[in-house]
Amino acid sequence: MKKNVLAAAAVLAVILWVAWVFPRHETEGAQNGKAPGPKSEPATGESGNAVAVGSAAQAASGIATATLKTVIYRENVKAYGVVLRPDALLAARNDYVSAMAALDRADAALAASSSEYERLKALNDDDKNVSDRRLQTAQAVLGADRAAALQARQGVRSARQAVALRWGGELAGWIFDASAGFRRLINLQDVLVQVTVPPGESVKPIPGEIRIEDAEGKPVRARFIARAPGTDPRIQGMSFVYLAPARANRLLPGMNVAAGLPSGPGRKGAVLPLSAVVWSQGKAWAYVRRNETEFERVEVPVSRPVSGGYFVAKGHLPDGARIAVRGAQALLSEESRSQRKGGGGGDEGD
Amino acid sequence: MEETKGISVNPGHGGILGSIVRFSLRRRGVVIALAAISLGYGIYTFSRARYDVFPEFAPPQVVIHAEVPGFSPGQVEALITRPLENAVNGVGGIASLRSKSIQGLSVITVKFRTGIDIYLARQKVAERLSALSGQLPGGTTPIMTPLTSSTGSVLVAGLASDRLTAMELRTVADWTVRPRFLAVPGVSKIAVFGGEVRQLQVQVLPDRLIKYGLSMEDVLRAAKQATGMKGAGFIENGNQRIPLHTEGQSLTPAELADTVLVHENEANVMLGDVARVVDAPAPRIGGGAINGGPGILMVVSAQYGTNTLEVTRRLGKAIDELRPALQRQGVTIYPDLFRPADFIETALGNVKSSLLIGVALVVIVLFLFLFNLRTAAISCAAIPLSLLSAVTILERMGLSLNTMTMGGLAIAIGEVVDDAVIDVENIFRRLRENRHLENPRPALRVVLDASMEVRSAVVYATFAVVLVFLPVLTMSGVAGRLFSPLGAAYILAILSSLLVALTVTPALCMVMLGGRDLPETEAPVIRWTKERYERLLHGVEKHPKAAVGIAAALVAATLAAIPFLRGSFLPELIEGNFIVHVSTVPGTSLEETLRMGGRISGDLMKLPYVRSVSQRAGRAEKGEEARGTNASEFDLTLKPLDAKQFGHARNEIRRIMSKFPGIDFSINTFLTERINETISGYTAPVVVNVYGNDLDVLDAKAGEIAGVLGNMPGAADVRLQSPPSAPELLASLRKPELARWGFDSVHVLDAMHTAFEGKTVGQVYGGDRVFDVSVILAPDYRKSITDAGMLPLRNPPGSYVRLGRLADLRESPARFIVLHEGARRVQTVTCDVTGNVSAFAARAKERILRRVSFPGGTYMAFAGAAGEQARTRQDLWIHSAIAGLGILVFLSIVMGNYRNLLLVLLNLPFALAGGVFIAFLTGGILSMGSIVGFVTLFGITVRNSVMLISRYEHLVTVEGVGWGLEAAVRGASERLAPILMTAAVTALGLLPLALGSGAPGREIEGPMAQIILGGLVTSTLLNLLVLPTLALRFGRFARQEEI
Repeated sequence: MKKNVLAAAAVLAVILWVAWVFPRHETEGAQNGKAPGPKSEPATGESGNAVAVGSAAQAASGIATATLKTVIYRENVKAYGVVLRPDALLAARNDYVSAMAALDRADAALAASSSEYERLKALNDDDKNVSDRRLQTAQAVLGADRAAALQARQGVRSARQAVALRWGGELAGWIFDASAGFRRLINLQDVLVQVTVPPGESVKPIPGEIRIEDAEGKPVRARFIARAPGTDPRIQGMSFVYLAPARANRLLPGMNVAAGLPSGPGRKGAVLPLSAVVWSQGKAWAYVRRNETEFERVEVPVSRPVSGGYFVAKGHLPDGARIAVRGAQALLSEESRSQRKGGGGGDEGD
Repeated sequence: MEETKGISVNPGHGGILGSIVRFSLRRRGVVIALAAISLGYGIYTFSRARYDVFPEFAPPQVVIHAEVPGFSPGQVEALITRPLENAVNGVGGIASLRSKSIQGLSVITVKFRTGIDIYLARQKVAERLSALSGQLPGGTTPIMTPLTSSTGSVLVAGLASDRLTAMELRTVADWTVRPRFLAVPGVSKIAVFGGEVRQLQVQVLPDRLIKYGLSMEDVLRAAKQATGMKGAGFIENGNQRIPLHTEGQSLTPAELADTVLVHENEANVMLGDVARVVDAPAPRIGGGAINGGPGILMVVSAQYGTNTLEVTRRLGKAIDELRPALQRQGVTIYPDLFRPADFIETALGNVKSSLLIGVALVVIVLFLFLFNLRTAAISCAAIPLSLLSAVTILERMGLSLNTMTMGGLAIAIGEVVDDAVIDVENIFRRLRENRHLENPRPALRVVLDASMEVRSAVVYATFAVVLVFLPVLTMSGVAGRLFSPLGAAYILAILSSLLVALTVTPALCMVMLGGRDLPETEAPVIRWTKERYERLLHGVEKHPKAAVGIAAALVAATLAAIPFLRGSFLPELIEGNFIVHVSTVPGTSLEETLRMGGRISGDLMKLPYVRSVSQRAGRAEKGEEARGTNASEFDLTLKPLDAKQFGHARNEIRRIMSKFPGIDFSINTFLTERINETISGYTAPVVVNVYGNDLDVLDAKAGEIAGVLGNMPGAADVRLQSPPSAPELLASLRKPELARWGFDSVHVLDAMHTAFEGKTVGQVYGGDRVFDVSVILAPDYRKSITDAGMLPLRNPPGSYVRLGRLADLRESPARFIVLHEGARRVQTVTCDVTGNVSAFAARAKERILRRVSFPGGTYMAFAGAAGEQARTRQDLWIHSAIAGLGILVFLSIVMGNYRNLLLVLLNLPFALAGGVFIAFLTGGILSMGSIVGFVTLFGITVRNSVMLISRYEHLVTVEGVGWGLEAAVRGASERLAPILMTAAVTALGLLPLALGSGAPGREIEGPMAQIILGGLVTSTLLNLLVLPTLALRFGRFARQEEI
C-alpha cells in the first residue's frame, strides 16, 4: 500500500514538473528561435497623413530633404509655329499697289473727262458753241470714267480688305505703307511666325514677346505683331503672328517651329522636383518634414509642369519647408504598410 | 560435401524459408559469389548515384506564362487568365490551379496529382493551349515554361564590370554566358536579371512629328520597312546553285536614322529628323545588383529529375571556361552568389559521415559483443550487402540518394545487423553445443537447424516493421513525398537484410564457422553483462509491483506530457544561405527598388558572416515570377555557421531589415521556402485564402484577417499578397471629342501603346546576336503623369490633337494583382510564425471566425504548411490506425494468444516514454522527422518484444522448458545479447546523426535519431527488466501438444 502511494506521488510529481517546465521552455524557445531582434529605437509608425521614421531609419534608407528655392514662374504654353513666306506678303503688296495704280488711273481719267465735260458744257451753254452731240459724248465718257474710278476705288478697298483679312490689320498697315518693317520682311532680315496654341489652351494676356526655337533648336525672341486672322489647320487653336529676326537663315520661310508662350502673371513659388512627388489615391503628394522624425504628406498641384518637376505656387507648401527629395516613395510605402499588413489597435493576447 | 548430401528434408524446415536456407547452404559458393557481385554492383551504383538534398518533393506541375505588354491587371485577368484557365481546367488529374494576373503578365500554375506522368500532363495542357491559338487579344501566345526540378534554381551566377556599360554587360550575359550555360546538360532555363537589354530604339520626338506633319504610324511603317529581312533565294544553272544574299537592311542606329520617312517637294524627311535613333535599353521589368553595386544575375534552373550536384559541377566548368575571356573584357564573374549544391554537398557529407561513423561504431560493438573475428565479420558483411542492395534498388526506382534515403539507411543499420547477429549468434551457440554432444551432428545440419530456429521470428518481426512503416510510405502531400523515400529506403534495407540473413549469413557461417574450432566461452562483455542481468532480473522479480509501478508512472508521465509538445512541419534547415523577400508599396519604380536594395545590401554586407548579397528586383523576361517592380529577392550566402550562429544570423538580419522604412520582408532558407511554395504557392507557412467574386469585399475581408493575424502573439511578417491599391494612370477616351476630331479609339490606343510601351517592329543582327528594333516615345516625354496628356495624335485630315484633349487622364488607385485559385478570385493573407505553426493556425482560425463576418459567397480557407501539417497528421493517424490493425492481426496470428500479443504491444508505451522525454529535452518540438522517428522506434520495439516472446515460445514449445521464473530469466538472458546488440548498434548507428542534429543535412534526421535513441533506451531497459516480469505473470506459453 505504501509503495502504491509512493508511486502515485512520483507520477504526480513528474506530471507537475512537466506542466511547469515545458510551457516555460516553449516561451524561451520562441524567443531564441525566430523572434526579431530588438529595435534600437522606434523606427517607424504612421498616423493620418503623417509618417514617423526614426533618424537611423532615415539614414539607412537614404531619405534626404531639401528646402526648395523660391522662383518666379510664368506659365509657358507650348505652341507650334510656322515661318510665313514673305512672297505672299509681297504679292499682297503688289495686289494693293496694282489696285492703287488702277485707282489712280481711273481718277486721272475721270478728272480729264470731267474737265472735258465741264468745258464742253460751258461751250454748249454758250450758244451751243459745241454740239449737243459732243456734249453727250463727253458726258458718257465722264460717266464711264466715274464708274471706272468707282470700280478702281472698290478694287483698292477689296485689295486692302484682302490684305487685312489675310494678314490682319497691323500687318496690312505695314503692307499698305510699305513700312520699314515690311521692307525688312521682304529683305528676309526679319520673318513672320504664325504661332498656334493647341486646342484647349489659351494665353492671357497675349504675350508681347515669346521665344521660338530656330532650326538649331536655339531660342529666338519674337515680338507680337497681331492676332492671326486664321488658325493653322494642323493645330486648330488660337493663332498669333510674331516677328522674329531671321538670324542668318536659321529661321527660313516655310519652317515649322516650336514656341513657348508665357501666359498669366508671374507667380512666386518653387519648383518641386519630380523625385519629391508620389502619386496615390488619385492625387499627387509630397512629404514635408515636420520634425526630426515625422513627415507629413501634403497634396501638391501638378498642373504646372516645368523642366524637372512641377511649379508649386507660394502658399501651397509652408515657407522654408523641408521636402523629402529622395526616398519619398519609401515614406509612402511606410505610410501605406497598414494596408498591406495586419496591425493597428490592441487586441487581447491569447 | 558429404554433409550436404546428408541433409534431409526436415518437416520443421519446410516451406519457402527452409528451401532458401537449404539452397544457400548447399550452394554456398554460388551464394557468396552472387553476394560479392551484388556488393560490387552496389558500390558502382553508389558511386554514380544521383544525389540531392531532398527527394523530388514538388508534385508534377505546369506553369503557363502569357505576356501581354501594356495590359492592366484587370484586363489581363478577364482577357487572358480566364480563357486560359477555362481551357486548362478540364485536363484530367489537376490537383490545383492558381493564377496571378499583373500588369502585362498572366502566370498560371497547374499542379497535378502525384503519380501523374508530367510529360503526358504537359502534352495535354499543350493541346488545350493550341486550341486557344489566335483567340487571345493582341496576338498573345501563351507558353509553358520549361520543366524544372522542384528546387528550381541550381545556381545564381553574377556578372559585374567597371569597364562595360550596363547594356554591354547585359549583351555579354545574353549572348556569351547564357548560351554556354544553356548548353550544359541538365540546364533547363536561365532567367537574367539586371543590366539593360539592348534595343535599336527609335525614340520619337512628338514636337518633330508636328513639325514635319507626320504621325507615329508613319514612323512605325518606315522603321519596319528599313529593318525588314527577306531571303532572296538562289540562282541555279547546270553546274551550280548559288544562293543570293542580300545586304542593305539598316543594322546600325546611323543607318536606321537615314531612312527616308517622307519625300515632299524634292526634300526628304529622315527618321533621324523626327526621332532619336539610338542603342537604348528596352523598358525594364527587372533589375539586379551584386553586393549593392550594379550587376547582372543569372538564375540557372535544372531540368526535372536531374542531378543537382552534377549540373552544378558542369556549370562550374563552364564558368571556368568563360572566365578568361570575360576577364579580358573587364567582366568579373561571380560563380556562386547562390549555390544550393554547397548545402547538398555539406548535407550529404554530414549524413555520409554519420553513416560511416555509425557503421564503424557498429563494427566495434559487434566485435565486443561477439568477441570473435569471424562471427563479427559475418555480421558486418550484412551491412554493406543490405545497404548497397537497397541503394541499387532505389536507383532503379528512379529515386535519388538524398538526406532522406540515407537517413532511412542509417536507421536500418541496427536491424540489418540484428538480422545477421541473431542468426550468427544462434548458429555459433548451436555449433558450440554440438561439439559437446556425444555424436555431433553434421555442421551443415546444425547450421540449418540453428538458422531456421530463429528465422521465423526474424521474418515475423521484419514484416511487423514493414507494416509499422506503411503509414510513412503512404503519407500524403509534401511530407509524403519527403518521407516516403526514407520509408522506402528503410524497408528496402531491412528486406535486403532479411534476404541476406536467409542466404548469405548461413552460407558464410557454414564456410567460416562450420568446420573450425570455436571458442568455448562467451564474449567477456556478454558474460559480464549476463551475470549482472540475471541478478538484476531476479532482483526485479522480487519487487514486481515496484518495477511495474515505476514503468507505469514513467509511461503516465510521458502521456501527460505529450500535449505540451509543439508541432513543426520541418525544422530550420541550416543551408548556409538566406533568401530575403522585400516588397514596398505597389507602384514603386525599379529605380527606387534598386536604390533601396543597394542600401540594404550595403548594411547586410557589414555582417561578418555574410559572404555575398545579390538582389533580384522585379521579374525576368519569360520568368515564372509574377512580381512587380516593387518587389525583390535578396540571396545572402553565408560563411559556414553552426545551428546556433545560424539562428543568431537570422535575428541579426531581421534586425537590420527592420531598420528600413516602408519595406515588408520575410527571411527564409532556400529549401524551406521551396517546400512552403510547393505546399501553398507562397513562402510563408500560414496562408489564409479568402474566396469570392467581389474584389473589394475580398480586400476588405483580407484586411480584417490581416489585422486579426497581426495582433496575434507569434505572428511575423503578415502580408496581403494582393495589395488593394497601386497607382494607375487611367485614360478614359472621350467619345464626343474623338468624333469631333475624327479619331477612332483603336487609333488612339495604338498610338498610346507605341508611345508608352514601345512596339517592336523588327530585328537587327550583328554576328549571331539579334536585337529588337523598337519604336517608342523619347524617355523625356514619358517621365511624368502630366507628360501623357501632351502626346500629340494626328487625325486623318492631318490635324494634331493632344491625348489630354481626347481622353480624361487621371491617376487613380487600381488593383496591382488579381489572384485566382481553382479559377476563383482569391485574396490571400500570409504570415510567418515564431513558434508552433499548427497551434497558431488553429488559434488564428478560431479568432478569425469569431471576429470577421463573411457575406454570402465569400469564405475563408487555410492553406500553407499549417494546413498541410494538419492534413498530413490526419492521414498519418488514419494510415497508422489501419497499419496498427494490420499489425494486430499479424501479431495475433504469430503470437497465438492475446496475452502474449498484449505483452508485445506493452513495449510501445515504454518506447514512447523515452522518445517523448528526448523530444522535451531537445526543445519540445515534434517535427515530421520526430514523428517518423516514433514510427521507426515502434518498429524496432515491436521487433525486440516479438523476438523475446518468440524466445519464450521456443523455450517452452520446442525445448520443452516449463514456463516459470527460470524459463523467463533464461529466455531473457539468452535474448540479452541480441537485444543489447540490436539496441547498441541501432543507437550507435544513429548516434552521429543525433549528436549532430541541427547541422546541415541532419536537421530532419537529427531529431528523428534522437527520438529513436531516447525510445530505445527506455524500451530496451523496460523490455529487459519489466517485460520478463510481466511475461512471467501474464504470458501464456505452452507445449504444442498441451494445446
